[in-house]
Amino acid sequence: MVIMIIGFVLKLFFSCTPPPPIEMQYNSINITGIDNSGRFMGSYASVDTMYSGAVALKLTLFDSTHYYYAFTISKVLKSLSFTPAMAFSVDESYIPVNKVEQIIITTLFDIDEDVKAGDDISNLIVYDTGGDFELYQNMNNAIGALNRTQSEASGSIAMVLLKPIENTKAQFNVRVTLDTGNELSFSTGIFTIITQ
Amino acid sequence: MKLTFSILLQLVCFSLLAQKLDIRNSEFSFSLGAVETPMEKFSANENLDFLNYFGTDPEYVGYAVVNLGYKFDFLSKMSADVKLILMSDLVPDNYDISAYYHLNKTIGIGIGSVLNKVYISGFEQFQAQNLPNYYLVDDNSQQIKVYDLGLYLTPMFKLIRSDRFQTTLKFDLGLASFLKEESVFFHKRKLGNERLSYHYNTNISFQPYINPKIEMRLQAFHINKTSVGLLLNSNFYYSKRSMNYVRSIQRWTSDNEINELVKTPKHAYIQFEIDFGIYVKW
Repeated sequence: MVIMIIGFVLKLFFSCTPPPPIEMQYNSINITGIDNSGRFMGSYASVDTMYSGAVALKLTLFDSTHYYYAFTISKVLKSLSFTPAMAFSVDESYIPVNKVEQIIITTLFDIDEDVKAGDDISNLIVYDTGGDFELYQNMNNAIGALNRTQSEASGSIAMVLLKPIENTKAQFNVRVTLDTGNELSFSTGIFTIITQ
Repeated sequence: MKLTFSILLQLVCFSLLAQKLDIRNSEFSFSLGAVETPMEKFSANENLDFLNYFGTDPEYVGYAVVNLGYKFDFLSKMSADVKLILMSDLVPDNYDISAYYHLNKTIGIGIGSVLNKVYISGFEQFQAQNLPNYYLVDDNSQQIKVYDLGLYLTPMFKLIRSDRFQTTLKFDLGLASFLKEESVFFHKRKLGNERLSYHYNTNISFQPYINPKIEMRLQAFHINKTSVGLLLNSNFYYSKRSMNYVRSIQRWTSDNEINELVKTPKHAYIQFEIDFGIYVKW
């Protein structure tokens, strides 16, 4: 009886703190084109046609195994125990255990006279923080955004191209190097470019 | 409790100070006034001129004010005049405070400070018109509140000094500046990725002004040494004013910043006020 009471009290005490972030492993990558031609970036819908001066990409890294074990185990453990003693429900958070170290973007089509197919265009890409009242930031900040605690079992960033494309087609390859030494690579589909 | 104690302590301190300063002939006044503040406008050029958007609504130049005044004489030849001015928000954040040395019964010389709140409204129109190939990310109407601080010297003439009716003329000569204010605009290129930010930081720049004032008091009745009456105050302010600023333009990222000091033309600025109310003198 005494042990149970101590157990209840300890459980109650620890239930008052938000649960720690769930660990996830970045093991998959996806990249889509997004519309940045309007006043605000349309980062929630993917497109296959973009204006030459408004080429933007959304990079998503995620844990493809998440739904198979972490989430289920967490739910099962909760069903065997007490739900947290919170006055409000606390959203789950996720922390990547393998951190992003580098992002390299290569164009697979000519962009203009100076930038040819196969060139590394990482220095022509900037990161959109998602704030409408902010300027873009360099890609080091994008890496920081991917490595911090996420609200889902994935991390996403939006990136824009500094140069207008003087071609009717565009395609990109993105390679993400992780601190484990692994590399995630993805080539986008071919985008149709509306030249202005 | 703390606040009550603090107020009581300050009242006691003020009372002790008043005894030392020999405060006498106190007068409290309450008046309602109408103010017209026409500002000369220029046609738009390549630089934003905030004073082209002067006022709560650039189409209207008038507003109403409530004045709370307290005057008193102190020491042997000194007097003070404290006026708090409330605009439509009823916040007493405008003032006109002055102290006078009376050379004789008719003439005095004073020093004072005045703080007026003004509004600059709708100046986002300039940004939208000046950069037609860019969206203004926030296209809501913008308004900034700017304080106009003045420091002045003033001769004072008591033209009529009868028991029932008094008229006083003052002629403020001063320097005034709009205090620092800032405003930021974000732009996004139409059909393009490019983003711009325009950051305006206004500068302090004192410019001369004149402000003749007339004050009239008509005693209605008195009980013992306390008299009650009507007052009529009016003043006319004239100055040539500008609002210069440092403009920082950032393109794409905050790393690419261009700073520039922009000097804007001087606008003729008139402020005419007339207010009417009551006073209690003891």
